[in-house]
This record gives sequence, C-alpha cells and structure tokens, in this order.
Amino acid sequence: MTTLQRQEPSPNPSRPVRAGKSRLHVGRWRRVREFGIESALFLAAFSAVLITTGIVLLLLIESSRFFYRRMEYIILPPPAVQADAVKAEELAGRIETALTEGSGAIHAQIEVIVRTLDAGPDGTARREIAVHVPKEAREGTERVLAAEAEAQSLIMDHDRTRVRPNISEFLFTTRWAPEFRDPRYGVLPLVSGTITITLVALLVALPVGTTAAIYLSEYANHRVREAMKPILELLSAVPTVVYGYFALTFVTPLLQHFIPGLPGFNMLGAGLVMGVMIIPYVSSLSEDAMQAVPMSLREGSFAMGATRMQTSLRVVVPASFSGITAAYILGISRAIGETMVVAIAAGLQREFTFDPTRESATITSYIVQVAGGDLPHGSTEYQAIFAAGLMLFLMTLAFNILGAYLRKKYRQAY
Amino acid sequence: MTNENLKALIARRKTLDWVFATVGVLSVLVGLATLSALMVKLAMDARHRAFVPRGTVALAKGPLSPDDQAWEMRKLSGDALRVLLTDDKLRSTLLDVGQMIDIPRLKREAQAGTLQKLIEENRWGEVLRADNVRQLISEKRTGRLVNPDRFVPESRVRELQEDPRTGELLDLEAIGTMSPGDGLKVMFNRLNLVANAKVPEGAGRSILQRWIADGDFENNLPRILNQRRIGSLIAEDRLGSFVERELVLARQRPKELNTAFFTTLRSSASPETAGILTAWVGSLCVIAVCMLAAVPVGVAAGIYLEEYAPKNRLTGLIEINIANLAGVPSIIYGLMALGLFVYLLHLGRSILTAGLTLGLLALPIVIMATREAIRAIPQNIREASYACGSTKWQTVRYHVLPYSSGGILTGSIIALSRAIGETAPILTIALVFVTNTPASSFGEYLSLKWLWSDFTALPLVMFNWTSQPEAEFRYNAALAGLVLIVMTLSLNATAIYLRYRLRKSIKW
Repeated sequence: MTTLQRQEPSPNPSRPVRAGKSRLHVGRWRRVREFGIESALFLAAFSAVLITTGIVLLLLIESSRFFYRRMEYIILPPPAVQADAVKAEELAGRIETALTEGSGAIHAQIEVIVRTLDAGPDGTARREIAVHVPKEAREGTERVLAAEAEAQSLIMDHDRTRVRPNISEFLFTTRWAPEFRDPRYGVLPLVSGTITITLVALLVALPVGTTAAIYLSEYANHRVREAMKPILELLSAVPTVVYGYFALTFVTPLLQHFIPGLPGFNMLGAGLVMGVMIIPYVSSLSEDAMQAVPMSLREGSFAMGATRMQTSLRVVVPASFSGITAAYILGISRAIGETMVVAIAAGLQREFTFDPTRESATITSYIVQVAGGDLPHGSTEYQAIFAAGLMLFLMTLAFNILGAYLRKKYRQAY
Repeated sequence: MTNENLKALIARRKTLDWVFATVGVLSVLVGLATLSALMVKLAMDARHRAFVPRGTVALAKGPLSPDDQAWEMRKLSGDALRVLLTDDKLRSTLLDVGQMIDIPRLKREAQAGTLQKLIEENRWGEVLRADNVRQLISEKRTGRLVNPDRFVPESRVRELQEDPRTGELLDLEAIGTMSPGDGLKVMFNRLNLVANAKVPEGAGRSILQRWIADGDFENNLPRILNQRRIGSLIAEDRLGSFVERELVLARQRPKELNTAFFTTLRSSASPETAGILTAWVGSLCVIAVCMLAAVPVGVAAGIYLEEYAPKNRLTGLIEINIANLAGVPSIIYGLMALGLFVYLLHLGRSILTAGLTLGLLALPIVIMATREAIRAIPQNIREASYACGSTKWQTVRYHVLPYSSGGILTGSIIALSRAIGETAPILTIALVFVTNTPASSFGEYLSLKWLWSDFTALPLVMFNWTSQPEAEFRYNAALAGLVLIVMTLSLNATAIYLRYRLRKSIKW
C-alpha cells in the first residue's frame, strides 16, 4: 500500500491549511510506474485502431497493385535456377536488361520480380519470375521474352499471362474469371450472389426476428421470456460450419422436395439457413431497444383503449425505431459477411443472377475457394481476393455508417 | 358509433391481438425448431460413424492384413455383394475373396454402378488381383481352392487330389497361360464339376451347413471366409443365401463406439478410418495461442477505456474502431492474416498465425465484456479506495479487477466458444492435408517449437469433409460437427452458469 506521507503539520493548529498544499504526496517511483501502466493500457486500447488501420492499408495496397494497368508475364526458370536465389536474381537482371533494350518500354516502367513459391514436394525452393510491362509495350515484350526463353531454356507460362484490370471493368462488367487464359475481372456476379443471398436471409430474419422481439418484450411474461431468450442465444452460438452442413444435407433436399428441379447447390437453402442464423442478432437487439421504451408510453396507449398489438406496433416500435434500425443493420452486415454457409451450400458458380434457385458464388465464398489453393504471393489471383475483400469491407462499412447515421437521426432520449 | 359496432370492433381487435401473439410465439418457435432439426440431423448422420461394427476400431489402428481383407469384403455395400453373388458367371468363380478380388476396385465399380457393365462385357477379371491369382496357380495351391478339410473328409481330399481326372480337369499348365481372368474362370468351372461330382450324397451335414443352420456366424465367420470353401458352397448352391444372411448379420452386428475417430491420426484417407485427433489437438493449440493473445490485451484495453480514458476525440476514435472491428466479416481477418502474418512478417502458415488471427477476432468481444463487467461496479468502491489514498492503478488492481473478474471470465469463455467455431479466418492460411499433430510428445510442447508447425483445426476438417464429393465423408463431418457443437454449447453453458453464480454472490 502507499506510504502515506503526511503533510508537515502546520506549527499553529488553529491556522487553516492552505488549499493547494493538501495534495496527496505520491512517491516518484510510484508515479513512474503509474505512468508506465497507463501507457501500456493505452497501447492495448489503441491496438484496435492499429488493427483497423492495418486491415484497411493491406486491402488498399494489394487492391491497388491489382488495378495497376499492366501486362503480366510469368516465366518459369529451369529447376537449377529455381532452387538458387542468386542465380534467379541474375536471370531476372538479364531479362530486365534485354527488355529495356528491346521492348520499347521505358526502364522505369518495366518491373521484373522474382517470386518465391511454396516449396515443392521434395522440399526444394521454387521460384518464378514475373514481368510487368505497360500494355502498350506488349508486342515488343513478347518478342524479347520469346528470344530470351529460347536462349536460356526458360518456360513461359502462357496460361498465366494477364492484363491487369481497371476499376471500371472491375465494377461494371459481369464476368468474373481471373484464372482463365482470357481473364475477366467483373465483380458483379459475386456481388449479385451476395445481394441475393442477403435478401433471402433478410426476408426470413427481419420479420421473424422483429415479431419474436415484439412478442418477447410486449406479450410474454417474465418466465416465458427467461426461457425463450437463451434458446435464441443458442442459435447464435452454433458454429457456422454446422449451419452450412445443415443447409447442404437437410434444407436443400427438403426444398428439392417442394421445388422440383432445384440444383443441389442453390442460394435459397443457404439464404434460409443464414436467415435463421441472423434471427438472434435482430431479435435480441430489437428487444433491448423495446424494453428501453418507458412504460409510461405504453400505459398512455393502453389508457386510450388500444390493444397490445396496436400499442406495440404503433407506439413501441416507432419509439424504439433507432434500436430496431441498429438491429437490422447489424443483421445485414452479418449476412453480407457470412462465409461458411454460402461456401458449403451455395456452390461456386459465378453467374450474374438474382434468381435464388440457381447456384452462385458470393464474394466471401470466392475468397474461400481461391485462398484454399496455391496462391503465390503477388500474383493476380492473390491480389484479386484482396480486391474482392476490399469490396466486401466497403459494403460492410457503408452499412455500418448508414446504421450509425440512422440511429443518431432517430434516437429518442427518454 | 353504435354499441353493436363498437362491440364488433373490439372483438375484431381482440382477435387480431390474439393472432399477433400467436405469430409471435411461432416466430420464436421457428428458431427452436431449426435448432432441434439441426441437432437431430447431426446426430442421425453422426451415428453412422459413431457406432461401427465391432472390429472396425482394430482395423483403423493399422494396415490391413490379409485376414482383415476378409473384413473388407463384409463392408462392401450390400447391393454390390448381391450383384456379385447372384450373378451366375461371377458366383461360379468366386473364390478366395481376400486374395483374389481387388476389393476397393470392386467397391468403386459397384458404387459407380458400372459393375454390371463390367460383368456383361466379361471384364470382371479386371476386379481380380492378377498377380495373386497367378501366384496361387504357380504354387499349385489351387488344390486348396476346394479345401474341404471341414466339409469333405481328409480322405476324400486325397482321393480328389490323386484322381488323375482332377489333374486333367484342372490342367494347370494350360490355365497358367491364359489371362488370369479367363484362367480362373475356366479353373473354377472345372472345379465345380469336380466338386459336384465328388461330394457324396448323404455325407451328413457339413459343418458349414450346421453353422448356417445354427446362425452361429459371429465366431466362425473369419474361419468360414478364410477357408476356401466357396466351391462347396457353390456346389451346395448355398452361396447366395449364405452371404445374404451374412450381410443381414453384418448390419445387425453388435456395434461398438468408434473411439478410433478420436484417437487415430489419419484424417484424409478412407472415410471409415478417418479421425479427428490431429484436428482436436490443433484446435486446442490454436485456441491456447488465441486466448493468450486476446485476453491480456483485451482486458487491458477495457480497463483503459473504462478507468483511464478521458472523453476526447482519441477515445472516441478508439471506441469507434472497436465497434467496427466487432462487425468486420471474419473472412477479412483471414485476408489480413494472409497478407500480414504469413507474407509480411514471415510467420508462415503456422499455429502462431492462426492463433493470432483468432485472437484478433476475439479481441473486441473480450473488450466489450470487460467494459460491461467494470461498468457494473458501483462508484462507491472506487471512491472509498481513493479516500484511503490509493493511486488509480492500485484501485483498479486491488478493488475493481477482483470484482469484475467474474464478468471478465465469462466474457472470455464466450469469446473462446466463438473462436473455436470460426473457420473463415483460418481457412485462408491453412494447408489442406495435415495429418500430424503439432508435436508428438509433451516435451516438445515445452520447447514452443510447435508454434511454427502446420496446423489443422476442428472446424477446418469439418469443412473439408463436407466439401468432399464422396457421401461417406458426410458422416465424418456430422460427427465432427457434433463434437464442435457439444464443445461450443458446453462452453456457453459454463459461461452462463458462471455469470448466474457470480451475479448471485456479489451483493452491492
């Protein structure tokens, strides 16, 4: 405990003690320690800001690399060179010199990078060389590279020759096919999948969740409420892979029973299960908001002769509108960002469709599908998932901001 | 409004009210119904893998011996076997199953529905193991193909073997020059004749017949199948019904609890012998790292925000960020793990990376729980502590934290249960087939080398198994999912119970 250093007693006890001298004296080391502890705690709290910044920066950087308008050629050196970092660098340098002289592009615009892949099956390192040139220098580059490949017995990986996309192609075209020889980078199919599944989920979750919340807060007595709330919380405690399994093995066959011709992977089943998954988020937040409405409002309504339904729909719900909006927005964010249910049950086809009985990939299931494979760092596929992730992050952020704005606008202080 | 109109209006309103209440109850029940349907479906699928025929656990522990291959025969799907045995061509040549027939191939063909085609095209020889057949022929062990040491008395065997006509009928040399399929076919047709011609009438019920009649299969089945008595069975035309009964018994065979699921290291081989030991241990290691990362930082941040933070823009910024992080989709954490931990910091696809990623995911939850717990402590306690001359940290450390530790613990457990079930963040950084536990002995755990090893986790293997096209893996996924749900729900229940107990014991 502190050694309480008492103030020097004033010589004349009858003289009042001056204000300002009655501070607690704390030893120097303790002050240093206190400052140190407070700084440490502050850093811990500030880490949240650092994490968010880190995420945003990473997404932005990789996406900007994705959008840089260039041709990309991939060259595989012979295995002896692949295993040796020094030789690989030398080779890269030679290629760069050759390109500077022969391809028609300025030296500053040419980029030759040695990329290390994951080790091969026998443990030796594998490297590939990526060449980036502006689109205009395409023919010259291809000529030079062909000559170099002949001379040094390199292999050009033609399947991975790419034109990097630009933003308008990314945002507005409707084919997403980065792995093909003629790659297409329109993100709209993924976005349409996300939107369709979200809509189906919301169609289930919003009505059911709000009605459940109204029932629990307005109609149910205390015992029923205490019994029902844990059950709804249990719904949110189930891991999402299990929901995905459920959607694939139970819901989809059930739906196929009612809708003949439904494919095995479809957005309807995934959307329904996701809706059920979101119900707890919507209902618990709405219910908290409704509980916060003061009883006087309800009593006034009852005094006017309204039934419980009229009271809840016309008095309580509008009064708690900001909380309910917050709940809805949370549900939407969760639905947009959900990964496992869609990855398992909604399939991996990329079509621009809003028909829930079809199979479609969403942004999240695309990221899962691609990231599960072999992704060399810096390749177009690698950067494509970051671009898709940025899209997702922006969508979620937009909804969060919208939610905060709506909440502030409709907030009622009681 | 007249009285009657009013009454009607009120009645209508009351009905509507009642209807609305019912709709509300139904909404809540929707959640309950889905949850129960989910659990029931999981349990029903999992029982196929949880309760397996006796002997499968032993099977899962090691490679298949030739005796075990007879077990494999029993695990063939009933339809495949029925096709095999009721078809005259095949039945007449069925012999020593364990050695002759390529069981996995047969199973594949049967399940793919191409077995019938193979038979019709007379290519059923392709499901035979050619070299085994050739070896048997060359070792002149074909005499044992009608081994009658139980059915036909020993003397009879000698008679058969010494009968020159047997040798002539068998003509082993000629058979040896044919393709194994044809040779076998010819051989058996001829042996059939021999067996048919030679088994004496009224020789008394053979032991096999007795066994069949008594239904005493359990103990005698291995012996029955390993002894190459099929010729006699064919001769007695009992083969079809024999195997039918055997199959029925196999389905009714006493089941045992599939402990191999939890103890075997294989997770990606055949569905029946796959297990979750690596995933289980991997999950535990990852969660340990996650908690070690999230709880200290989260509690510290919560303490700062509640006790120390002034009401300025910086604090507002921090709070906004925490609220934002709580809402970020978990796959974004996975992307961040990929870009930052794996490539930028060169931590590789290891347990450390996965633990840190999940720790980031759990951080906002821990922070919010800490703040709730600290907020619940009345101001008097702090003021009393300050009045005694404590500094801020002393107040926090000796007065605030002890009272809020219950809430913090509860929040950490809830964060833990959430982190266990998360797949998306670690999917991006996981390798697909990992079959070793991070460290093989306890000593290795102490040296912390396991932090850098490859990992797999329980939700990951469940995802992998669910995505397999083979339907058998779904049972594995169901059992893994059941384990996952039980873990998550019990953790949640623990947290709720702790919260209840602590709330009761603290009286302000």
